[in-house]
Amino acid sequence: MSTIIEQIEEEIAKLETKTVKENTGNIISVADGVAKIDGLSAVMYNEMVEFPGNVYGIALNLEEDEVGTVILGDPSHLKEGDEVKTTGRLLSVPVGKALLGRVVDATGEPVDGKGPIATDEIYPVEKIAPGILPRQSVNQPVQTGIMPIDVMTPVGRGQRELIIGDRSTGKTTIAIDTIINQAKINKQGEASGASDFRPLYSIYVAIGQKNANVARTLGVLEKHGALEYTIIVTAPAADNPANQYIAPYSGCAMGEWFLENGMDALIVYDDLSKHAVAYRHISLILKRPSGREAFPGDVFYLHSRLLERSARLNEDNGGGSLTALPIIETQASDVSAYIPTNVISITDGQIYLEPDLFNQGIRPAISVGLSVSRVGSAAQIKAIKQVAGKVKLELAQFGELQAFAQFGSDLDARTKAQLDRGSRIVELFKQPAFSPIPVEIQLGLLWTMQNGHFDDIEVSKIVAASESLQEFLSTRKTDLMNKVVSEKELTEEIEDGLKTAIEEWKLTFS
Amino acid sequence: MLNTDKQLVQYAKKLVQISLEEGRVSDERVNAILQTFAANPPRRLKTILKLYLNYLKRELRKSQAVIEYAGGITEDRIEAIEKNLSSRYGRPITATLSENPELVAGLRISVADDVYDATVAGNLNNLSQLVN
Repeated sequence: MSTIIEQIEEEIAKLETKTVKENTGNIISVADGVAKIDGLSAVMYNEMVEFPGNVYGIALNLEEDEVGTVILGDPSHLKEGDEVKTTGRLLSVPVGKALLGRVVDATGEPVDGKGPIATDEIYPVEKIAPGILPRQSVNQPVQTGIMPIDVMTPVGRGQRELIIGDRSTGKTTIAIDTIINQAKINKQGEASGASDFRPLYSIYVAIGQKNANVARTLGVLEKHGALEYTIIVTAPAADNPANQYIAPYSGCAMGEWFLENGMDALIVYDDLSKHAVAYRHISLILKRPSGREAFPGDVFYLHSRLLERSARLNEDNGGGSLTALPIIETQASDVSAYIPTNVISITDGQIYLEPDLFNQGIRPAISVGLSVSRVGSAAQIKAIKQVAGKVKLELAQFGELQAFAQFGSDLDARTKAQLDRGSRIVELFKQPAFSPIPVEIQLGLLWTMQNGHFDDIEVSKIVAASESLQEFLSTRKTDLMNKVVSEKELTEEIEDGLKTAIEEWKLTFS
Repeated sequence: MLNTDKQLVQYAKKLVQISLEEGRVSDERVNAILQTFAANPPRRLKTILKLYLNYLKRELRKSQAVIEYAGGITEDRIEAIEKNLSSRYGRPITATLSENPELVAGLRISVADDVYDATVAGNLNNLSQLVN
């Protein structure tokens, strides 16, 4: 209270002498969240402009006779002739740990009814990505807790891994699972008190989604105790396109705070297809020339400049990282459409979700052949590398053989063994939503599979066997699992321990 | 010749350039242009005149300072403001007065797109934004 009074007193003292210079203009037209303004001769590109009623906008088109701006907020009270002022500022959002556990809109204003956000720091929404020198290559994993991803398409801290697939194929679920798993790891790490533990904070950006979906995501995160490590930035479908356009950049600015302060963060953009559509909307109203699928020419740059801001900084620059999981929704599995191909080429790999697999009950419906991580095993711990080596190849061969085997029933023993192994791996990789598996348990399951301990179990019972083994390892073999976590390597001692544990488990599993 | 909107805009801008004498809008030149149009009206005259009017107004605003005041202002002060603004913008600027009691006290000067606000109302407005 006293600081506010001091501020007021200071301002009163200035009243006699203070002259404020402003550059102004007048609204010519307002349409669909875009305002054209006459005047504003001193406005800068991307500068925030102030409309009456505390509404702000961003100058995007600087033309000879007018300025095209997008309006952030409710434009319903704006009319032709209203005065608009430059602010001399770039759009900035609050950043810092105070945002964790909060839901904010595209401008960083809280929308969760939990009161104001206690932070003094702000970061500009648009910022140039880190250059070459402050970066280092990705070498630390982000454990998603989803077995097929951690084993076959591992994600590293600082990587950009695209999640792509048709509607309702489980794209958001993968992202949410990853966020939940980070929260679990963070809690374990903080409880262990290890000095070298680096928590991974999450930012979930919902673009153009239904409010009900955002509420459901919020509920899931809250239920699994992940909200306290997560910031949710939301620009729902009911928001104007400008907010939907700015939301991912706002989320990225919040993530950059962690990156630049030597911490690790994960950002999910859900989804960039709707982001591109919002940008197309703005561009068309601003009368920018349209190109393929009516998107403007700079739609590639729209996403490349956003995703380039994800990085792993070297030790001299704090060693922080910002990992991005952009999501793209395809139409009828067409990955060769404009926006999907753009984002595929920008990112360091993609996880492709196939509707056919999803409908067959294989969930997560990850297509082994089309999913790739360009960072590869650099983002895996040694123990996983030791057991995961041939899984992708085995699954790819299984896919081919399965198609071939449909034409005949007489198969040689080797082919039959390959088919059996493949179908068991497929079953093993089935995983319910919001149940990430810790890396040490994943190792236990894979080791069991690779060493043929699942071979005498019927394929239809593999899911039950996997669940039973997970429970057995996590409740009765905690010492062995802790050893895996601490040594991060498959030593002879651990292998012996696993062998004994599996034999013991088999006696309990019928 | 004047078929597209773009061409009309360019034409209107050229008319404004012709209307200037030593950097200021000349009444004589504007009258001459209007007389020419009356004698030989071009195609889409109404649109051209509207555009010409808009650009001319913009040009006039560049050499006019609107001084809004509350409480009173002396001749000396107006002269000083004109002199100061003329040297700042590098062109002769003449002042137009407008009394506005809503400003409470002080002056608000507008030159083209620039607004210089030294009023109590403006300061109070800034203060309320700061507190909010």
